[in-house]
Order: sequence, then C-alpha cells, then structure tokens
Amino acid sequence: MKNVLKILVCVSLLFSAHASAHVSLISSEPAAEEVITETPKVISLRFAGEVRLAKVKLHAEDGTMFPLDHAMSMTPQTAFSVPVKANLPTGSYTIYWTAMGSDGHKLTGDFSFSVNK
Amino acid sequence: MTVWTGVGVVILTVIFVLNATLIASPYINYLADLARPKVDKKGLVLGVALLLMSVLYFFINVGNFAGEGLSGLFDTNYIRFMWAGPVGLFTQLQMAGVLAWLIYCAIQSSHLKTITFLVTLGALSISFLSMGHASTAAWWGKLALLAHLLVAWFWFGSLYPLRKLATSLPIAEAQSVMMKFGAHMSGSVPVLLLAGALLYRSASGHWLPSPPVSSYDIVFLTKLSLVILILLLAALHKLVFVPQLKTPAKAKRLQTSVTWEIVLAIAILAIAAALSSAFSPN
Repeated sequence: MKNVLKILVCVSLLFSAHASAHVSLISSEPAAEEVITETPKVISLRFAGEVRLAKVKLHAEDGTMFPLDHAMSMTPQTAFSVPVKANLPTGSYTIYWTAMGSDGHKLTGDFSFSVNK
Repeated sequence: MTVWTGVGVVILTVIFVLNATLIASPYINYLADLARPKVDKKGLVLGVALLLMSVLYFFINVGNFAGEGLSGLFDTNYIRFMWAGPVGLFTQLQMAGVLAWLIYCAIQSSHLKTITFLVTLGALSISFLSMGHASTAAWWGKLALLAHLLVAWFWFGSLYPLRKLATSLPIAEAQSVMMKFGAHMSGSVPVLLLAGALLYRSASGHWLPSPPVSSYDIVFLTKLSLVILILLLAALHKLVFVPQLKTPAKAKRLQTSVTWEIVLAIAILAIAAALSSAFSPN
C-alpha cells in the first residue's frame, strides 16, 4: 500500500506542470483609466507571457484614429513599446491590441486613458 | 466564437478526418490483406484534399487575425506574420506530410513505401504539437497528445473502410478482419483513454472539471459523453455483432451500426478541433 502511495505521489509531481492558459495584458503605460497631462511618447504593453503583437490601434472618443509606429513582431516577447507619432489633444483615447499567443490563438484587448493638458 | 473561428473549427475537423483516413489506410490494407494498386489514385486524391484543407485553414487564420473581412485573407503582412507562427509551422508540417504521402501512393518499392509512410506519420502527428494547448504543454502533455492522436487516427480512420468491407468481403473473411481489428483496438483504447485524461490534466491543471465549470469544461464533458457512447457501440460490435456475423443480413446490420460509429467519431473529432482551437482551459 505504501508503495502504491509513493507511486501516486510521484505521478502527481510528474504531472504537476502548469496548465496552459491564454496570456493577458498585465500592465500598460499609460495605465488603464489613467489621466495624463501630455502626449505619451510611447505606448508600453506588458503581457503575462510571450506573445507576438500583430496590431495596435489608438482611437479618440469620436472614432478618429491616431497613427502609431508599430511593425508586427515576428518573435515572441512579453513587453512592447509602440511610439506615438501624433500630438494628442485633450480627450479620451482607447488602445485596441491584437496579439498571437504561443499556442497560435488570437488574443485581443483594449483599455482607455485620458489626456488633460 | 466568431465566424472565423467557427469556420476554422469545421476545416480543422476535416483535416482531422483526412489525417485519420490517410494514416489508417495502409493499416486496413494490411488487416484485410488487400492488394494495392500500382498507383493509389484514391490515396492521391485524399492527399491533395488534405493539402487544400491545410492551406485553407492557414488562410482562414490569416483572415481571423487581419480582421478586415474577406480581403484580409490575402493581406501579405498577415500571411508573413502567420507563416512565422504556430499555425504556419502546422501548415508546413502538414504539407511535408502530404508530400511524403503522395510519394508513398506513387511508388512501388516496399522499403521506400515504409520510409515515406513513417515520414508522413511523423510530420502529420508532430504538426499537431506545434499549435493549440499542446504547443505550451510539458513533455508528457505532448507525448499524451501523440499517443491520443495516433490511436484515434487508426481507430476512426479504419471505420469507413471497415464499413465497406462488412458487405464487400466474403462473410467469413469480413468477420476475421473485424475480429483482428477488435483485438488491436482492445489493446489500444486504454492508451487512448489514459492519454486523454493526461491531455485534460495538461490543459486545465486538474484531473476532472471542478466548479466553477468553464465553457472549456462543458465542451470537454460533451466530448467525454460521446466517447462513452462510442465505446459502448464499439463494445456492442466486438461482443455481439461481429461474433454473429454469419449471414448477409447480419453484415448489413453491422454496416448500419458502423455508420453510427462514424457519425460519433466525426462529432468527437469536431469537438476535439473546437477544444484545441476555439476554447481556452482558463
């Protein structure tokens, strides 16, 4: 019986690797719902695991799109810095991002921040 | 689930079915001692169909990422992006497997046939390790997927040929083929079930679904229910229908029942495709 228990414990430890999960955005600069006083030079995104960033879009509240200097990432990374090419007037903005997880699945998300000059 | 992922699941199901049919085809020929034609035209057609489906699956994923409707299917930036990722690697390995398969169908030398079949088997099975939850799994999760895939392919891929053989072979011969198949599967199905349990453990982090039950758990439990049904049906075939296979009427009865087994197998493959491409364990 003891041997059976030992085997069961060993088997449990052997199969105790982490479960696969879809990674999420863990932080950003500007942060979600943050109010900043000037145009950010870059949008920084940090993910819980390695992803390939496919698309990042910056939209104003009225739907106007502001250009970002982003090229699709061909190698997986956890952190990305995307330069902002335009001067942002006072208002609310939303960042929409699309990435590929290491399992090939599509990941999407968005967050908003405000500029109050 | 978006339209893109829905279409992706359907195409991946067809890819699963074609992979199973290709891989099981030499096994059924061996089992029934069937003479192979000089050039296996049906095999070539199956190979070309798999090639087309793999390419289509790749472009569906391109369209899904581009998010620009049908025009996004041919966005060269996204084609490059996808080609360098897990779906691209999956497509490349499927294409390599199909290429080896086409050579297998066209050549005569038995040594070369063995080599090309092993290349086909290796490339097709490893392709499924490159994407989905298996791509991020530990070594034992990958090993479990390989074992699970191989047994499922040999089982499910044999069903359609067996359905045909039930009435096309002389009854005593058909019974002998079915008995051999039943004996092989009796040894393999426990491997399939154990590997399936390990796969679930690898993807979700636990052995059985526990509250709060996720959509992944619900789809997994649906698959488990269908697996129980197909096992019961397979047991009915092995223990009742095959031993009673003495008359054309019994052969017809077995054929009809195998048709239902095929329906269940396709449903299981569709759910497996959904689990690996459209649902997250967490």
